[in-house]
Amino acid sequence: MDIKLLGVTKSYGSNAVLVSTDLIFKAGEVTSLLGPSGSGKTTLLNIIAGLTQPSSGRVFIGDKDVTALPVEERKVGYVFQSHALFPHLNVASNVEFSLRVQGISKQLRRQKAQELLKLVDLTGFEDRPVDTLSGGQRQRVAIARALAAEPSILLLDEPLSALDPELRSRIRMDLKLLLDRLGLPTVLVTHDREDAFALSHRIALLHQGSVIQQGTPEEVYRQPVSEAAARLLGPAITLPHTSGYSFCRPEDLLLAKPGDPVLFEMVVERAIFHGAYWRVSGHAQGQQMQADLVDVSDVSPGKRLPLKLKASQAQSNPSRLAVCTA
Amino acid sequence: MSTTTPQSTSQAKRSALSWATSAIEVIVSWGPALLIVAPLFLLTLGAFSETWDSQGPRGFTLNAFSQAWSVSAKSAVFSLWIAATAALISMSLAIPAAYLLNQEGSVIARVLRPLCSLPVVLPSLMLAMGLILALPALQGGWELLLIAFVAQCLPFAIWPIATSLQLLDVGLLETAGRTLGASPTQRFFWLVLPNIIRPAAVGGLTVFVLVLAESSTSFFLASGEYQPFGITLYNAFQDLDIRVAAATTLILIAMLTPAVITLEVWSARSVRRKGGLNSELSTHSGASASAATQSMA
Repeated sequence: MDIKLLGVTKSYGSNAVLVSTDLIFKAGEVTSLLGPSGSGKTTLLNIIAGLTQPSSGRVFIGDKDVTALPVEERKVGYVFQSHALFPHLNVASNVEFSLRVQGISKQLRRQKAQELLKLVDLTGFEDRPVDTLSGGQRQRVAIARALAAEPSILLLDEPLSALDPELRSRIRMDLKLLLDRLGLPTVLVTHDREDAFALSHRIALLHQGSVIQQGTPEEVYRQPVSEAAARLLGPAITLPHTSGYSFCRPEDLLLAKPGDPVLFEMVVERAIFHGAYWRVSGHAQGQQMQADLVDVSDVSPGKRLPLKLKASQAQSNPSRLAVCTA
Repeated sequence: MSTTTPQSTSQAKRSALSWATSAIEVIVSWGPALLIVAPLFLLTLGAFSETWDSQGPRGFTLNAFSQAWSVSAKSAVFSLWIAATAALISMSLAIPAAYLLNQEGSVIARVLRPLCSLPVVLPSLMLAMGLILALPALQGGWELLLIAFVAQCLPFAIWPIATSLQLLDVGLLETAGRTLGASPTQRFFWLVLPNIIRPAAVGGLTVFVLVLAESSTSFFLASGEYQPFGITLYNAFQDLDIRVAAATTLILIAMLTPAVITLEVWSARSVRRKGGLNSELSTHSGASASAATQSMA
């Protein structure tokens, strides 16, 4: 079942948090709402959930207009940033909560909870108090609890932000497998591009209350439609173009050898060794930039490095240097 | 002839400093306790003595207890009853009151929050006189005492619950409940209430302890028929039989002790069971209760 947002806006007084937004979340796809703090992504998620009423526009679940429907009747599965597990209930009772609300018998509730806990690899955790679980386990309980109500859409608000970096990359893969297995239309709010790349089929970039671009992770990364879109997904280098400008990424640059055409000379300011490459920061042609360089010996500050584009980026795949009109 | 090296001087200084620190620790930790324990010890000795005059308590008998009990039994039973009733009523009022006061963005809650502490700072005399003037028909009855006790102690029942509601982020739990389809009633009874029942009990017990030991308000509102224990104790000291007064004091302590121990055990058990966030809850609840019992003392 697809979820559609048509012309959705949200304002608080004269402060427009969300300007006219049209989005479609397709069945079986995970869409990330990626943007900096204050870009309106959580507002958008809450509008889909029914926790916030839009100032104008409509929200459809399938063909049904649910704009005026309260959250209790919307059948959305919402996984909170802090998981919001009920501290007085054990794992199974947390998962069963929505079934208890529906008046389903205890036996059926327990059966369903066991199925869901199996789905999220938490079999045997039924009677555990939730405050004894790890961050990853708590997240999976929150997902199982959201799924118990058989929602038509799954909403995840910054699902990995509460985890430390090491755990985060592991849980990210677990979550990816789980979301693929569920096949529900899923909307994920994040400000972390790695989360968005790893978990999503599509990414919608939000900037100052507007969806400025949407597409597959590779599309939005390689073909940004504006400087704001380019910079939301990491360091971007502006390349002047006859009819506007385009962008490349630090990994698209190479150290030019004698005789090679030089795109620009970067003056090194600092360099950090990352094992497989050096991330060199500096400036050239009036802009700050970064380049991920492999075959470089001297990266001392003040050194001038002649840089060129990788041949593959410059010639074999011209679409990767999409031209943006200013 | 003895020689003093710089090393031995330094050791002597360190030793003196350590001794002084230990002495200060003992004074600071045991001093205040002694201020309470010493009179209680003297009262205990006096309560079991045959005579107590200018030379102090002497001899051993239980006579003072039998005399004290004969004059205070009715008042003890009445005090236990009215304290339990006030505790139950306060708990019942405090739960919805704390819940309503915790509502974010509510103008009524914002106005009522500071008013909630008013009965604590209001002098007992003012409260008692106000109640007599407002409800003259109830003067001399237990109803007026009960109303006064509930009004005076309600903040002590509300505070632990309000603290736990804030620490739990009950708003988030309720929002989670909403996304799972729960109605407002289901959210209150299934999500909010189970999480505040322990602080509510701590608040109720605090009210029980406060009412049991109360004497100021009772002084104005008690009658011959309905006399709280605080007044009986006051009368015992007025009668100048200090042995009977001491025995009456010990009867009050015996009535209070189980409640105070239960209060401590509940707080400690909360810390052990919940840990983390809920330990903070019980610490706050416990702190609130301790503050109340201290203010009573």
